[in-house]
Amino acid sequence: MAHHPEPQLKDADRRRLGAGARSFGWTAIVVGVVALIAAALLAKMGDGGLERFGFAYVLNYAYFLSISLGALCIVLVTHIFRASWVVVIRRIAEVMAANMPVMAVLFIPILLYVLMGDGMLYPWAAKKFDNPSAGGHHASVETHETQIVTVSTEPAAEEHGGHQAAHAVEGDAAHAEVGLAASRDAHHGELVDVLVPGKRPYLTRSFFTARWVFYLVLWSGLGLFFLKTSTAQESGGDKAKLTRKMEVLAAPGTLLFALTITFAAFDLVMSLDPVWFSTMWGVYFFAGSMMGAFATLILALMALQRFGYVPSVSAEHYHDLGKLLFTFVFFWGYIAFSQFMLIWYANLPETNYWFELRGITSEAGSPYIAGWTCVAWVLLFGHLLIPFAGLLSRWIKRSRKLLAFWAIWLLVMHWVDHWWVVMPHYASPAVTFGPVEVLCLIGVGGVAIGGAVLCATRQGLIAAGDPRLGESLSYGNI
Amino acid sequence: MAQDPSTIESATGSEQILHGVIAEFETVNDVMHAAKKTRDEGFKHWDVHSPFPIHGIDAAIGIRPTILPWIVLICGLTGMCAGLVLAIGTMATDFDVPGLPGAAAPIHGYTFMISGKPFNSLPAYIPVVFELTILLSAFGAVFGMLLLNRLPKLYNPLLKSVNFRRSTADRFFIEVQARDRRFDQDKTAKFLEGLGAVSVELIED
Repeated sequence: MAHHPEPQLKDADRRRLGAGARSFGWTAIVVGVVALIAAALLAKMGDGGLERFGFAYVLNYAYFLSISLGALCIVLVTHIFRASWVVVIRRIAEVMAANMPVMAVLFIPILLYVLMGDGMLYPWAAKKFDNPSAGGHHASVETHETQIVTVSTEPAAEEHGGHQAAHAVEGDAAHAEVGLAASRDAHHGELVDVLVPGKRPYLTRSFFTARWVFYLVLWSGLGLFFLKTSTAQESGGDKAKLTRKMEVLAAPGTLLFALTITFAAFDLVMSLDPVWFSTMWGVYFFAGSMMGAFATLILALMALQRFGYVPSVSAEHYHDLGKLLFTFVFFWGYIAFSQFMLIWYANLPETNYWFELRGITSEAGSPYIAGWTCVAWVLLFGHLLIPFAGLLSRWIKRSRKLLAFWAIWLLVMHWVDHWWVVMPHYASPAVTFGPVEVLCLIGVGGVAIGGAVLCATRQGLIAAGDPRLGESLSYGNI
Repeated sequence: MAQDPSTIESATGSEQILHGVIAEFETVNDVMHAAKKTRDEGFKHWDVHSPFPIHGIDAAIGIRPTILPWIVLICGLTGMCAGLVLAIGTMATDFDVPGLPGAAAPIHGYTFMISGKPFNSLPAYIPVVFELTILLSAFGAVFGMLLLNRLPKLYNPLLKSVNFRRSTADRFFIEVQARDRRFDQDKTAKFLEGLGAVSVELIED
């Protein structure tokens, strides 16, 4: 174009977060730790035991991990595309992604549950599977056939997935239904015993630990690399060379990211039921992660601008973030439906049990059609159809208030999604929501957000050394 | 090739119908400035021609928001309904048309039994409904855009101008059409020249 002067950062753009943010970060971490201790004590003193605390913790850990992972993907992919529009807002995504060491510390409780919980959260981690003589695969299948018959007449067997089924529905009339649910649960429990030995090479405590050490080291390494390299551009490094370095690493980084997020989603959430499997699970987790990360990014930028930071972020940048938020609202729906349809069509007992447990079944009179069914409807409308219509128009994405509204709405829905995915393994048809879940949300969230805020105070809030900064500042949608 | 506006009149054949005036500008800044002035002058039938998209030119021309999104929405909803009618109609209908002479005319879907599902199974129809929604939305977007732009246009009087050829290379043009109510051959030409045009040319239809 003609002789436009290169747009410059305003002075306020270079302002860093100060002492107020530092004390906010530490406060959040302290509040988080206190909330986690309170949640554990509350659960231990009777409100569901340590088991409930474990599930509530996994739920909230998955929620905040997904947001950091989504941010990491934003950083990786925009480097591959050499996207210039993103430069002004990329530092916030870099900070969210560089929060991985905090997420690694937060993973320790889950690791303790796996190593010492004897299958409390993850049935495959039970010690009974350690002894290879406890039943070869074929022998188990035979006993399994006969057991199903006996099991179906038994009342509430204490098996995974329906622990509290018996307490869920009260009254004599409901007893027959509870019996049905209990027999389903028991049947599924039998399948766990039959199928886990076959999945042992993958689902072992030691391999699980090794995998998670690998994931967390890799993600921390990638997150910190991009933050440090981007910061080095501001402090006198060779800007073009450093950008090139980040672009070169972004390509293999994306590949590793795609593989690790897929397997991490399998390990963290899917293996809560070691019988169930869905090859789309990794993409499902990823789709939600990206949506959560864009919503968080939008809200973080708006919060910073409220306090006078990063004034150069304009409606054009929000418009693009809104478009991407809209994209992943729909992508989540597309993937969620595809996953559902394949399992619905095949209608195999060991896979459709997962949906049955979550209240999705067309079987008349099924006891599972209860609270989780309502949550599933809430997800269909609240996570897909309503925000799809709500984010469709251009002017909505350019209006700060409306975009903030939808970002908050979708972060809530993202949590409901994880809640609906994780908690039915603790109890179904009963819906579990109470102080333990809320305290875990505050706990994991406090530590994660506090860590991110402290990380954000250590450098400027805009990648001021990026060679494409000028392009980003003058960026406009046609 | 720059023409003096005073010679324009003599160059106009009496038999010809006037299409409008084009003014040539050298830089983006010039044409942006001129476009804003032209917009503020109240012209309706005019346009800017540029070799590449210019950021902010929409506002400078004062283009009103397009109705294309509404066309796409209506097409998409039509596709959605068509998909539902197609899927449910062919698979799961089973009723008689009342009021016909003789035996009632039965309308039956195929009612294929597929892996034990109910005949009317919405999850199985969603892919059809989704694809038809997308197809008709895309048709609405592409053909609606062509229609609103009156494309394809096989003849455009501007192409008679030799100067105008540079609008695909390195020059920027403002075209004011004669059908505009505020158009006046002399005054408009003078006005455009006053905006810093390097040449002003009268175009016959």
